Amino acid sequence: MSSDLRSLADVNRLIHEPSRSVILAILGVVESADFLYLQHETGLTKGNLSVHLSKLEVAGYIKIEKTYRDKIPLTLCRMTEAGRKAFDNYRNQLKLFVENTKE
Amino acid sequence: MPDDLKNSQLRTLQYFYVDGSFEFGLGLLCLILAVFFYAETHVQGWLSAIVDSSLVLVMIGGFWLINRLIKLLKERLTWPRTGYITYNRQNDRTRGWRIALGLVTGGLVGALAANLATTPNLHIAVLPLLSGVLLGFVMVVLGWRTSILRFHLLALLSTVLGVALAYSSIENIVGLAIYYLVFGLVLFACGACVLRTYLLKNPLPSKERPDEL
Repeated sequence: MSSDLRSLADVNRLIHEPSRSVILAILGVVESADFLYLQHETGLTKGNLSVHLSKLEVAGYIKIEKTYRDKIPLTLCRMTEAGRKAFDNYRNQLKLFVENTKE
Repeated sequence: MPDDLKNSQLRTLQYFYVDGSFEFGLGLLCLILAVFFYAETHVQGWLSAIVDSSLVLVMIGGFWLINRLIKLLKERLTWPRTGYITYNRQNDRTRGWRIALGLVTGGLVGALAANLATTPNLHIAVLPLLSGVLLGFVMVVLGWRTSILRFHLLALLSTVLGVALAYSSIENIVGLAIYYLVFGLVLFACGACVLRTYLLKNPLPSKERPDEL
């Protein structure tokens, strides 16, 4: 296998899933976002979003905080430092692959 | 997909301005300033000195009020519909630099305005001109940072209004009062249009919160 293909094969599969990459891209530009905003922006169902967030939390890429605002439950998600590094690394891998392939 | 990611990030950065609450807040501040400058032209004697020296207090009070208004609007209208975001806070050093830059720019513009306003053979009202150009510049920077077109249109309008008032043979302070009144009303109208579009696009979801984790 060539090094270009190997770099694509080594890409972080957890982040490579489109919904999870959108979630991380959003959380990368804010301090925190709540469940409703992420659902609105990704267009995922509650169940699907919950599953994706749980996977990212288990990997240590995001932190989920359950709190209340005016007696209304609020689920806040924020990206961890490990998540930021993993996402940057993922972007660099993809960029490298695109740069090294002909159109 | 990269475009989707970029658009998602851009929409997230634009989210603060999605409901028009910023325009309502800034519009309110402009109307407060319009009342202040109008009052300045109508009071005399010791009251005039008090009004003159209270501009800083009016600005601080105005900023506090618009913060409250924006938060209230977002709590009631935006967050229950499309969710809640907190943005990254600037670190102390960046904030310090920005405050210092703001103070220096404000001081220079103030000194320039005071100098030009008292220049005898100047046949234009400098203060509305400076206000129009300065607020226009702020709107251009905002539009450039957020890629929102309406801020560029507001910038154009602010500049045109400032220039028009400068050449309309109106006295400086009266011109300022008119500038802030008109621009405040324009901001309110703009905010109302944005809010209407937002509310039509995003009806209130059912009472049950979607936090199912």
